[in-house]
Amino acid sequence: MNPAAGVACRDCRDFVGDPHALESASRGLGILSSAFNAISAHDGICSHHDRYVARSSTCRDFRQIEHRVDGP
Amino acid sequence: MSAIVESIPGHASPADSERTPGSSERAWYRTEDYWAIILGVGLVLLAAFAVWNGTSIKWLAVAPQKWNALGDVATHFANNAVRYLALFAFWALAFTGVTRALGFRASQFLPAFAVIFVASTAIIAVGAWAEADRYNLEPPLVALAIGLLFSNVLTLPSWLSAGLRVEFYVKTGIVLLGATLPLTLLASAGPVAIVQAAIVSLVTFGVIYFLAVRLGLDRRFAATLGAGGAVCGVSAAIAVAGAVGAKKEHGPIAITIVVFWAIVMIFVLPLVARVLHLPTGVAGAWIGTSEFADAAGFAAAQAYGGYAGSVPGIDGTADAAVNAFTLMKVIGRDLWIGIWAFVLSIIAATRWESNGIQGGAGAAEIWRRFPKFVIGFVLTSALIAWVASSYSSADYNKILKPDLINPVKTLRTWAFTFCFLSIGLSTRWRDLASTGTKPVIAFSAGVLVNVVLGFALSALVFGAYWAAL
Repeated sequence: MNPAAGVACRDCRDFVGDPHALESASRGLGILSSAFNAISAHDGICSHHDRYVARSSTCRDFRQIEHRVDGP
Repeated sequence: MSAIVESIPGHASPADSERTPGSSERAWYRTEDYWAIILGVGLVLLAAFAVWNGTSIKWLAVAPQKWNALGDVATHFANNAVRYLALFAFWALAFTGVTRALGFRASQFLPAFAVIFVASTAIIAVGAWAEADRYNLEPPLVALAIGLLFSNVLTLPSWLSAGLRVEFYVKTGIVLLGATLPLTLLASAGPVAIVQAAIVSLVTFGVIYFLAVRLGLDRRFAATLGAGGAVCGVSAAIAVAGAVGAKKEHGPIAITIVVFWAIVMIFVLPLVARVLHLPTGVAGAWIGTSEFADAAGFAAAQAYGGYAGSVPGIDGTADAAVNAFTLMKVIGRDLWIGIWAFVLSIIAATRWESNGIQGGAGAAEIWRRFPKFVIGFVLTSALIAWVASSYSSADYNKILKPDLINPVKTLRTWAFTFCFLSIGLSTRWRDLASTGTKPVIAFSAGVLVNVVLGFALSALVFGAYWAAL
């Protein structure tokens, strides 16, 4: 899946937005800050481009995450 | 990435638990700021309700009093053991609930917090020793020094890291601090703080950014470093890294440099201010201008405030140091991170070489990055102002101060001590990223300009203003 740019990073498979993972990837982040703060605006890391990205960023390499199926 | 997440100590929830397509925001309960507001404002409300009902939370807000002989402090603990247990139970319950909502396992947070609480009790007790001032045993500095010593000399168990939530402890402390910072002071001194902070922030960012670019560093990295030095340390660096799309390896480098200078300044700024006999308000403003992170700055400001009345030649009150720091750092610098990130994201998208990622920032980004805990800080200040308005000056000193203000202040001291100890315990130099020379040179040049300019503005240009705070 490689749609045109315009779909946000937050819905991409390559977007790592979990704050625990973010703290793990950004060594020392928890010493004087946190990945759980409001300032970070729930940014993440793009594992495809290896860059910090905002949730609302976009790019041409977007890969939609699969919809979660709740229940059995 | 799942492997990374699973290896994180104390992490309870699956990595993609919040990855619902189309969701624009993480759930509010996964953000520390909102929990700091709930806990801090809730505590102040509870304290106010207690006073209205003719009682007080001061039974819960226990802390060691000034003591001369070890026997005194031992007697104090023996007589108040139940109160300390109740206080531990209160903090443990509140923090375990919050960290559970953030995704940490209660089974790992609780023992870690028990260690933090016991160590903090010892540190506050040392600070209450009548001779502590003589030996510079200020609790914030003792907490940091002990933490740094243990984390860098010994190998701490990994489960302890679940309890080291520096940012949450400091935010809770700041919200509680609002209760002791008059709303009128916030309104009158806020604009001065904003002007002073704006001058220093712009100059510091400019020095770091342009020197970094001149040294050949990537512009996005230069902006990340600049924000770290100019606005609010590590938080600003990572926020700007996300806004401009900085490389993944540049975040940890910026973190290492900011943490190094922030820790150095915790000890250096109070020491130099003490040598110069700066009034507490002036020193607080200088620390607020020239420290790089809220938690680090509170340690320095609270340590310097401790000199008031105990070190000859230092005028002012302990509160003046912390209040001036808070006005300068929180109101003058932290509040504006959203605008920095917004402006830099536009510059990155329109002026810098493309990195293949289009920033999606709009004006809404300013609110999204707003440090929400500040709302709690203003709320508690307004709440106390409202409560106090129905008391005469005499009743304020007779009832409100001992039954409401002082207990909240004691709880704030606890929250800050948890924070200072956690900074020390989580700072393991060997675990931090190596930096290379160029980023260090660029950032250090900014530090030098920041410290000198911050001193000139705090002590000379606005000196009379901050001294009278």
